[in-house]
Amino acid sequence: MDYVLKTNALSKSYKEFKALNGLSMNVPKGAIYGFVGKNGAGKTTLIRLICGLQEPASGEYTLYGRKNTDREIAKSRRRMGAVVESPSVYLDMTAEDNLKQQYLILGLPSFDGLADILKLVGLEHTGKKKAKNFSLGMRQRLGIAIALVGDPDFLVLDEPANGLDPQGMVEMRELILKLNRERQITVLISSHMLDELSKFATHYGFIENGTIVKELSAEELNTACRKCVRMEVSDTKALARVLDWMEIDYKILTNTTADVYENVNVSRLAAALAKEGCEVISMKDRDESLESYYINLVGGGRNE
Amino acid sequence: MSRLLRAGFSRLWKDKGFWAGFCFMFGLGIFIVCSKYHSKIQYNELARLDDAMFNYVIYAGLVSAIFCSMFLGTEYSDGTIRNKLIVGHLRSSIYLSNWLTSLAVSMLMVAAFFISYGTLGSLLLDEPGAPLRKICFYIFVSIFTAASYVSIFSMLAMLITKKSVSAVVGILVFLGLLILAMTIEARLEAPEFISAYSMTINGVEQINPEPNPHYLQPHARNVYQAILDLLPTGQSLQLSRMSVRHPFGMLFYSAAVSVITSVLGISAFRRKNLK
Repeated sequence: MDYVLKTNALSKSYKEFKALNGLSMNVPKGAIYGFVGKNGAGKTTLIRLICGLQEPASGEYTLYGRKNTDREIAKSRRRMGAVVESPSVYLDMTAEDNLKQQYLILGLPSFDGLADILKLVGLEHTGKKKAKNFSLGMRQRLGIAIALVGDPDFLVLDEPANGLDPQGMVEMRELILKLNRERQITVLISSHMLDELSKFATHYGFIENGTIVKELSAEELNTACRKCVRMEVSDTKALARVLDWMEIDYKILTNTTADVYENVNVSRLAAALAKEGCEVISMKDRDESLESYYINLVGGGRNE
Repeated sequence: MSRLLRAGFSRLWKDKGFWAGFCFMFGLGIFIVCSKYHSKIQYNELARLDDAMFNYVIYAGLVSAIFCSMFLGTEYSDGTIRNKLIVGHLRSSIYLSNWLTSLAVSMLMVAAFFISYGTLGSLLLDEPGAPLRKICFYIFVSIFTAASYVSIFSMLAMLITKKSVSAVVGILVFLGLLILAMTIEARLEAPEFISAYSMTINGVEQINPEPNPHYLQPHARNVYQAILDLLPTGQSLQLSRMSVRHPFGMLFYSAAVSVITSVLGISAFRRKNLK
């Protein structure tokens, strides 16, 4: 698998506070990578490092195959766009002038495509209105528009839904999906809005106390969060034989526990298991949401 | 870096602070000529063109302090400095492009002053007292002084991330340097002897002058003069009075201040954690 970004044991401290503590993560090419963690977990610090705003204390990262210590890292950076924390826009300029600034910063020969970018983010009718008079959602979209100048392959968005109203969140999600599907842009998006993120992320990295505690694909997460019945039996081999015969999807967890992913006829199942000499000890419904999965992962209140 | 310069100048033409500074320096030239002309008419005194020609340098320092903190500080307050770093521009390039843009602004403001002062002054004021060659050389020295102001205030603006703090610090540093230069100049101009007078029945009599305890001895005098030549504010005071003692030394010091502050600024900016 090709990776746009790979980090290896990245660490960063601010005086006594360890913001990143040996963080390792991998962002596959073409993914919408949801970077999930609570406030202060280290999400923004990682984004600052990969954007070159700060240097890691130890560890390294690779961006498009170039290490952060490589003199040529600037070439990899030219392939990325980012909105870190608040949108980076000149408040005293119009949306068009802000984009023109970025065209000049990138050294692009003309302003071709400027109108298309404004249209893509829905700011084509802002005219002479200055960014300081924009709503928060409009500024977020302008920030993304600036990040899109120069056709980046990798977009880094730090909490882009912060402060947006429900309509703004829907628009933001649709924009990210559009960029990913139509322009094949890899997106790294940090958020603590799990339900929102679960609507479009293809991969997840869960961060806690500056360390990635789990990295998995959306399919793996869906499987982990699927509604199921957790069964405790005397012999899961016998249970597997019975469930195979009944053509029911399941997952064996230990010698005595398994998750069964469909509604089962309890009487039939118990009878079939009895024939195999297997006892049913307990059955519990499990319906794990993304939030409860995350809380289980990071230990909930233990980490507060 | 040429891309950053193009972007910087593109932003500059739309910056209100730049035009305010430009108009201020243009207006300053007109104001100084008019006040000299007024004195000439009212008191029938000679008002030479070069008498107040270099009064502008001190104002150029103040304008630089305000302009650098506002123009460069916007990059921090609006967060746009990140857009440059994210796309791979080197920190040294960002620093130098900002310094060069500020330097160009300072030169444009100097030009604005000389356009108004020179045009109006040549019509209303008397012939200059100093030879043209000396005036031209002093203009050259004053441009270096203006450049050293820009270097100091660019460094402060690039290292202080809060725009308002940067503006306050810039103005305070300027005032501090000005007070320091005025104090040093006062010590240098202190007389060697103090004349004393005594009131007797015969009236006021002058008694033997006494040595001034604040008079600087030759070694200390050289040190004080070197500090005055080094400080941009000290240079400004000497230029405004057309009493430059070491013009080549001042050129050297201005260049040294510009290089040292820029090297220190780049070095600190490269290590700076940006948010």
